Amino acid sequence: MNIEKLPIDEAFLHKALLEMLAIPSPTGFTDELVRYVCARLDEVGVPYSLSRRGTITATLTGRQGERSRAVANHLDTIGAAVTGIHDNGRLSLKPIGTWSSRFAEGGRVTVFAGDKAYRGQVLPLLASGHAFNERIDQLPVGWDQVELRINQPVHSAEDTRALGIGEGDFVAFDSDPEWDESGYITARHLDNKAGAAAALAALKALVDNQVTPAVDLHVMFTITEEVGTGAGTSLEDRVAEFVGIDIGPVAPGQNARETGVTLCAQDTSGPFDRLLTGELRKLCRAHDINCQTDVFRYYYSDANSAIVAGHDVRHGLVTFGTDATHGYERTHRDSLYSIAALLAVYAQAELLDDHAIGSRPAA
Amino acid sequence: MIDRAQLEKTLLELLAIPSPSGFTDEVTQYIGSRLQGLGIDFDITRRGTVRARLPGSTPDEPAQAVVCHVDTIGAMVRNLLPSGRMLVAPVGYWSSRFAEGARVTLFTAGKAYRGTLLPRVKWGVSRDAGVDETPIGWDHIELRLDEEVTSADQLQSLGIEIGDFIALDTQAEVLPNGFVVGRNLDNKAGVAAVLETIADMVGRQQQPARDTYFLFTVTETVGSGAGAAILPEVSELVTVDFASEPWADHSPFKHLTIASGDASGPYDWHLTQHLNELARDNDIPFERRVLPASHNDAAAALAAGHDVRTAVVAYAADASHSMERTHFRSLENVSALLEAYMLSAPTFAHDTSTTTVSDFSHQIEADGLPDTHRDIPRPADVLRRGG
Repeated sequence: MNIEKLPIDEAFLHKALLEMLAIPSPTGFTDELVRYVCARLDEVGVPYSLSRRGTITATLTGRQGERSRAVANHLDTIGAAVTGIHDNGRLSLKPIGTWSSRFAEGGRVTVFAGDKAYRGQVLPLLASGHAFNERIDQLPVGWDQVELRINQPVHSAEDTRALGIGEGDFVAFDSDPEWDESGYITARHLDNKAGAAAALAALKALVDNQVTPAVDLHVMFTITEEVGTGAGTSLEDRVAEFVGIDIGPVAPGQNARETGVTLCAQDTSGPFDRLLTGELRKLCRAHDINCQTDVFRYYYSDANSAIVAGHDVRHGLVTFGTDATHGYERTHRDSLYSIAALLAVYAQAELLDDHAIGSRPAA
Repeated sequence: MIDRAQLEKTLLELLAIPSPSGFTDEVTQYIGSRLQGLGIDFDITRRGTVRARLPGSTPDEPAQAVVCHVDTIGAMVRNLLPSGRMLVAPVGYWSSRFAEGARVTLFTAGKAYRGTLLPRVKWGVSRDAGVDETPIGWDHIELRLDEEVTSADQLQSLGIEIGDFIALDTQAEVLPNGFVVGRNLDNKAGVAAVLETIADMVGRQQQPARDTYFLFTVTETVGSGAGAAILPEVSELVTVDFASEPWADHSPFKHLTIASGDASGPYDWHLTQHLNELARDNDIPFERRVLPASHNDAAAALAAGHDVRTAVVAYAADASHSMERTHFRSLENVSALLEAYMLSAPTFAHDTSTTTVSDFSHQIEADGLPDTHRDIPRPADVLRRGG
């Protein structure tokens, strides 16, 4: 069967990404974003199932269904939880997901307390130059060195508790997206809303062009990747290949780029399936999609959670290179279009042989 | 309401049974015999997780599970020293600081020996100097056996081998004011509360609203407890465990904690809200807390790939994995909340299976979001207008 490189609806991807960035979704607080993605799948016309807690599995029926392939994107983002209230009425925080408080400093946030929501900002404990001068430079970085200043007239822990705020309340950081003519997209939570938008765009390309995948294609939108368990559930036994779509760190010493596709050969959990990674690289080359390969040293993703939960799948990781991950993230639209194009091509490719252990991928 | 004397008796019996992770058969036997005595159906997995079931009055509803772990921290022989003493490795995650001075039992294939864990002091000119300079860490701890041994060979002739389990004496102390002090209250105090809750429900012929499973897991302390024992019909998992009191905080000794999350991330928001409401409605004093340094069976269940809602109910306790202390009132409050939970409707009736988006829940009230008025002027527009 001939594999066709499909055009990507860039306006659709652009709108979906910005709308997803507008919806708060720290891990554990993802209901609204799950509903949004379901609405987009309805719009595109892809059937899906929804697990108890909200993992979405969209499925496009392929020419064969005995074995299938899955592509996973996570919808949850990093964020924070309230761990206590200081005497001054401000909130102490614990991160949700693994990230440095250095990048939380200055973040504008919404605190969700019961059925109320309050605005605020995360600040270092010493936040005024006029009051603390050089002591600010000596304040260490860490989650116990920051506090959340809530935009309400509170001056004591009692004042804050009277608002209904307490331990365990979710804190969502504003994304503050900027997508200008240069093609660069700067925002918090590109991890992994950019990946999810690219996956939706790939599904739309397949449906709009009436292309039937080679085998049943499950596109999963998971909800607990940032805490390490995203894809453990919801994976059928017939899934033979599992490709995660996620962020790739662009930094000195890394080969990831903000353009094209960055394939991850190995992360903290170990190497990804060599044949599948090679196959993805071949597909990029054959269809004129820029691609580079990298190794991520301090990185976990849904591909790992699937393996840990005991699924014997070939797994791979496709990423959009992003500068300053889990901080002030920036990628380029080219990487998102490239990922969407690769997914649409990958959906048309035959599955690897279950026992193809001897063959050798292209160098 | 559970019986205080019975709770105390069960707790002290549980504490008397050595059960470091990996050496839990006897405590599994004890749980089994207690459940048999109560006439409860249960099965036991290969490695010893006990899964008991109380049938609910509305069996069509999704099932719920209450999980507690019976394993504790402990140690294991890792080296036989030429002096006839032994180096040990921790079982579970805990500081050797709290091992110093512990009285222990070492279990070989056929025998048990008594001993003490001691710092490996490099005796200096002054004895005191050597004591203060010995660092804290498992490399600086040795096991002194109360046997006439002065060489590795003699240890071997006693049948001692690398890999033998070491269980710590709990030195339990129950005070008339309700405090209970000892090692391994984590999580035997929770197990005692759960067992007595079952006994109370059975004694009063009180049936839960829906099928309720009780899981007594055996490898929580090493991170994999509830992974293997959750049936697909279980939609909610409430873990009963130990939570350290925060320093200088408002949490009284007798309350319980409904935790919102731990080191593994947030628990299920909806189930946690449900428990908060039950506690409020039943006048059970509780604190909402996040446990940033904890890990428990809820995380193990999710890592194993179960799509269950998780929540954690914890009794107030101090100095976890060391000189532990809790209060019987806190355990009674945990039990009261569990009973209220068992009689409550499921958080979501549609949780029996996968759901549809129309059934699916909400977390944010759109109309409740504050208006941020961020439609601020664009710099280019202002400049063109000339201010």
